[in-house]
Formats: sequence, structure tokens, C-alpha cells
Amino acid sequence: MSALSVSFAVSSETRRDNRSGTLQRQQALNRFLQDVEGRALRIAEISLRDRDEALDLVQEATIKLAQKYADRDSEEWTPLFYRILQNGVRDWHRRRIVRQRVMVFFGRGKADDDYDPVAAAPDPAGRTPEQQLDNRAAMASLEAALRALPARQREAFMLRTFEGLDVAGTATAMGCSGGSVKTHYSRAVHALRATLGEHWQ
Amino acid sequence: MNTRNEQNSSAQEEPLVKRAAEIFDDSVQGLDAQTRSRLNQGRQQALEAAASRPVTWNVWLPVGAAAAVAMVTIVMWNGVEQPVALDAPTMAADFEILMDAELEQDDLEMLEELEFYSWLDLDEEMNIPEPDEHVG
Repeated sequence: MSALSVSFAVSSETRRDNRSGTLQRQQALNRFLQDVEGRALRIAEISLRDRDEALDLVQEATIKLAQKYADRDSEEWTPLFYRILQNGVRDWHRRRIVRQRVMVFFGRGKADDDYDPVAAAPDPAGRTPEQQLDNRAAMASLEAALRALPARQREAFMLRTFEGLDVAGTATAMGCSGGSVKTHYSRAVHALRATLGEHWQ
Repeated sequence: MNTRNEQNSSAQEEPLVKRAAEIFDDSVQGLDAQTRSRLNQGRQQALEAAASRPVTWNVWLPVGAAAAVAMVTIVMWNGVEQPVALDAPTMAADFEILMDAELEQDDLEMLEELEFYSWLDLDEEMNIPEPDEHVG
């Protein structure tokens, strides 16, 4: 068999292996996104107070992760995904501040207090009406307390508590050091305890 | 990376954090069907976009390797009969020949039949009778 034939045989087998590996990676990415998307949506929604906007940001983060970071180790997907998402949340807030200032300048600014977290809260599944009411009320209180936190403390708390990221993963997602994560998280917990009070003891 | 059971710094913080995680999970479980459908659509679009990414370098690598092997084969054709070390001037001259735009058509055909001519030479060597061999 000539050298050319051997090289083409090897390249064909390489292409088959590449296709098989790519399919497995796509399936793994699909499973990851299925698992993370619900939590990511709720985390974004707490920051944005708007489900439609949160859905758009989650989709943008999903697309960016799939296009740019699908080839990375799957262990890196969670912190990378939330890094992209948090960048989107910050950009959204910056645009909103600019928009509000422009509206106020032209005398068309409006109050931003018409969001009702209880009314907007989703219907939980598999709970008694009393439990549903308790959980929805508790979630509404928690959301309000979280939104009162500085942004970095809120990020650190939600990533650590809601997504379960460790300090290193949270640091990657937030783009800061592990020490900063611990500081933000500790301050967030203290502030929430002071705000939520005895209901959470 | 996910360490939902990782303990926090003090026991005093745990009830608050645990309760927060519980009601948060409850709110995720309670997402309505329409929201879940939109999430699913977004995920499928992202996966399709990722699957239609441009061809990456590792697909072209075998093609490049095959071209390199062909070039080396052509270069070494000049030294089939005797083990001649390929020096830079020889290789450069061979490449110059290959790159010559005025290469005659019959020369090109000969280059394409390298394997055949190599076999032919080898076969002729093997069939040359020894001086005292009885033929016939």
C-alpha cells in the first residue's frame, strides 16, 4: 500500500473519530444546558426583575457558550456560562441606567416600583396551597432582600447558594479572586440575615 | 464544581442559606410550561448554531499530511537505487523542477506513475539471471 493510500486511510479514520467525539460532546453540552437553564433563568430574573429579559439573556449566554466554549473541559462550562450571563446582566443594568437618565432628562421618567414579585412568582408544583403560599411569600421576601444587596454580594450569594459553585468556580464566574468571593459572600449572608430576620432562623 | 452540600462558614449561617436554597429550587421546579418551552427552544438554537460552526483546522490536517507525503515521495524518487543522502541543494533542485511551470506533459505523467516505475526497476533487478544460472 502506497504512502498516499495509508495517509488517506488514517485521515478517514480520524474524521470518523472526530465525528463521534463531536456528537458525544454535543450530547454532553445538551445535558448540561438542560440542567443549568432553569436556575440560570431564575438567577437572572432576580437581578433583572423581568422574565422576558432574563430569558433573552439566558439564551444569549447559551449561544455564546455553545459557539465559543463547547470544546473546553465540561468542568469549566458552569463557571464560564455564569461569567457570560453575569456580564450580560451587568450590561443590561448599565443600559437601563442610561435609558432611565435619558428619560428623566426629557421629563418622561417613571417609577420603577410596579414590579410585584408575588404576582410574578411562578406556580410551584407538587405543594399544598399553604406550602405554595409560604414558599412564594418567602421567595418574594428573599428576592427583595437580594435586590437590596450590592451587585457583587448578590452575585456571590446566588452563585454559591443557588448554583452550588465552590469558591474557585464562583471566582471564575465573577472574574475576581477567591478572597473577594469569600468577602462578598460573607457580607451578603450577614446583610440577608439582618434584613430577613427571625423568619429565616 | 457544584457542591450543594458544601458547608458554609458558621452554623449560624446555615439555616438561612439552606432555606434560601430550598425555596429557590422550589421556584425553579415551578417554572411554567411556556417558560420551559422557551428555554428548550433557546437551547436547541444554540446547539444548532454550535454544530454549524466553520470547519476547523483538524479536518484539513490529514489533507495537508497527504500532500506532504506525496511531496517527500517525489523528492526521494531520485534516490531509489542508491542510498543517497538528500542534501539541501538536491532537494531544492527537485522542488525547482516540480515548480517549473513549463514541465513537459510526459514528464508529469512519469511523475504520476512513480510507483509503477519503482516496481518496474525492482522487478528488472530481481529477474536478471546469475552468470551460471541455467535458463530455459
